[in-house]
Amino acid sequence: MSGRGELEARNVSYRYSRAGPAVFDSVSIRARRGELLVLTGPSGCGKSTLLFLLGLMLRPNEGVITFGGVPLSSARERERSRFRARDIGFVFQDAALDRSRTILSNICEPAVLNRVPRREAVRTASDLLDQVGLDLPMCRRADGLSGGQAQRIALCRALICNPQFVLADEPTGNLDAESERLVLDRLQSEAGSGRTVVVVSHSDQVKARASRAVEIRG
Amino acid sequence: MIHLLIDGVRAARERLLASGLGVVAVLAFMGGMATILARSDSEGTALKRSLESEASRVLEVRAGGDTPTLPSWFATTVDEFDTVEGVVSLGPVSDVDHSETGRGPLPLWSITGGGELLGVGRCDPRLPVAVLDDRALGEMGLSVARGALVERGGQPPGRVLAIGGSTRIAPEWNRPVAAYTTCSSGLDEESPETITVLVLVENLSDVSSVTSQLRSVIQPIGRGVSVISDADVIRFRNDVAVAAVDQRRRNLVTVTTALLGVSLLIGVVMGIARKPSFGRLRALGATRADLALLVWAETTTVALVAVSIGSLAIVTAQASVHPWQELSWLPWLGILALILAGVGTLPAVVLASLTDPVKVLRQP
Ligand SMILES: Nc1ncnc2c1ncn2[C@@H]1O[C@H](COP(=O)(O)OP(=O)(O)O)[C@@H](O)[C@H]1O
Ligand SMILES: [Mg+2]
Repeated sequence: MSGRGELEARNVSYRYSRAGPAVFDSVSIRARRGELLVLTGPSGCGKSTLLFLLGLMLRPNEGVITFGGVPLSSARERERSRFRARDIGFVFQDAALDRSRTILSNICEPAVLNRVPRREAVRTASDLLDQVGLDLPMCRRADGLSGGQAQRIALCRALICNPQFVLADEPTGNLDAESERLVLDRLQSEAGSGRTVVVVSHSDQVKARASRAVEIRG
Repeated sequence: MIHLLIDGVRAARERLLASGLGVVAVLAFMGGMATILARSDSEGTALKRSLESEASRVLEVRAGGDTPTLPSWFATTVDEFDTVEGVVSLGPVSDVDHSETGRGPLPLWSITGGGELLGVGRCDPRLPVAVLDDRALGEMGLSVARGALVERGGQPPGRVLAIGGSTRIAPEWNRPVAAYTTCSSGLDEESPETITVLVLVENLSDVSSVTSQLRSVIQPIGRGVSVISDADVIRFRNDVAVAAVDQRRRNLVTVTTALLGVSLLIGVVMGIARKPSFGRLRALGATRADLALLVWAETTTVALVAVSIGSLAIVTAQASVHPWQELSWLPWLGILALILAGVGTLPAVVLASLTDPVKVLRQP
């Protein structure tokens, strides 16, 4: 029986095209609430693909993905999008900020999608920036930031709607050691505060913080 | 929904502030369009001028058809061509009952007074016209001689050029009516070299009789009458009308193209530039509809800014070649701009809604 905050992939198979090779075949994986699960494996083995599947951006060809026991991998597109906005915080490898918008607007993107009142979103954004140790004016444009600053902003964006699940695809791939430490601190404490965190990484630093590490084989 | 629209507008503002360059580019484009527009307009104006000067050299002849009132083009023609100095009218050009004689409709202007000095009532004071019905005059006990002065309310008196009793006007009238014009200043040796007179006749066959009578009055003072054919008149009028319509159509096409072009350009450029953003937003949970709204609000805001600047340029360019009263279409320009700014950005919306988040996120 799946508990609250549990993210599970059961016997999932995926291929990018009908004729193409399977990226993986019948993979099962489970992340529990409060856990920092790290997915490792050689480049090209399908870690990102698995994370996109878990993030409801791809649909498995076979198998099912459940969130707190609710199968969402086969839900309608709109429902999946809504769930993604509300309950999943996604951290992309290269931060993926909109450089021509302000730091605040970047952080608030999920809040806008969730129709969170502006005032409330601004307050949360400000608190989150404090928590990740960033002392930048929120109305500044998200341009000319260091990789570490950008990734911490991206982390704030992932967390602004207080999601149950946090998925991160090599979030420290391009960061220096100090920035990596700050980001991992944050992810670890998010797991500690009861979120379900799944991180794709081949970094030893990340593995060292993991509650559990799962190796994906190609 | 309102959240998304507001954030779209906010994004546009942030982006516009971020890229002064984009604004400058749009400005330059719109400026260019406005110049083209202004030039195409001044061509139209020149054409109209040449037609007008042409008009001052002809005696315009027109068949009145069976319209009992002044044809609708009449007033505009006289307004448009201030070189027209007189009107000769033959035939029933009014449906006003002539109560004094009880004989049904008379020409628009009726005679009052008597003796040498006659007054002509109901005359459009802008038109130096007298229309005389000799039988009606007779029944009223009036007699009018050629050369008599005709006074029209407040206007300088005109002189009756000719009176003739031989022109049949309309079957139901079946009686001779002479209808001759005066020239506003009277007709003498000091009259201008060319006097342009519009002649309204019931039948084209009346033209020759009118012409010969005019000629007999005019010749003693050394002026001739030239008559252009009905076909020429029609062609002439068509030219003017076509020129005017062409100009309007050209304006509309140019303005529409410019505005739509700008919106499209902005939409597509922003759409392509922001493709990674679309992918990210989809990944963050934007539904296709959310994304469409966001992108539409954002690109439309930018397009509106650009289009407003462009419209200002068009207004400036237009105002420099036209008097203000000819620019009554400008409010429509505003409405058109609003609509086109919204419509022009739709391709961007479509582009956005097609974005596959996974594909986009994989691109480095
Ligand atoms: N859009 C795609 N179409 C076809 N194959 C793809 C696509 N994206 C990734 N792949 C393939 O899927 C496999 C797994 O890729 P990925 O999940 O990115 O691996 P990882 O993140 O572990 O490096 C790779 O062999 C890659 O070439
Ligand atoms: Mg990867």
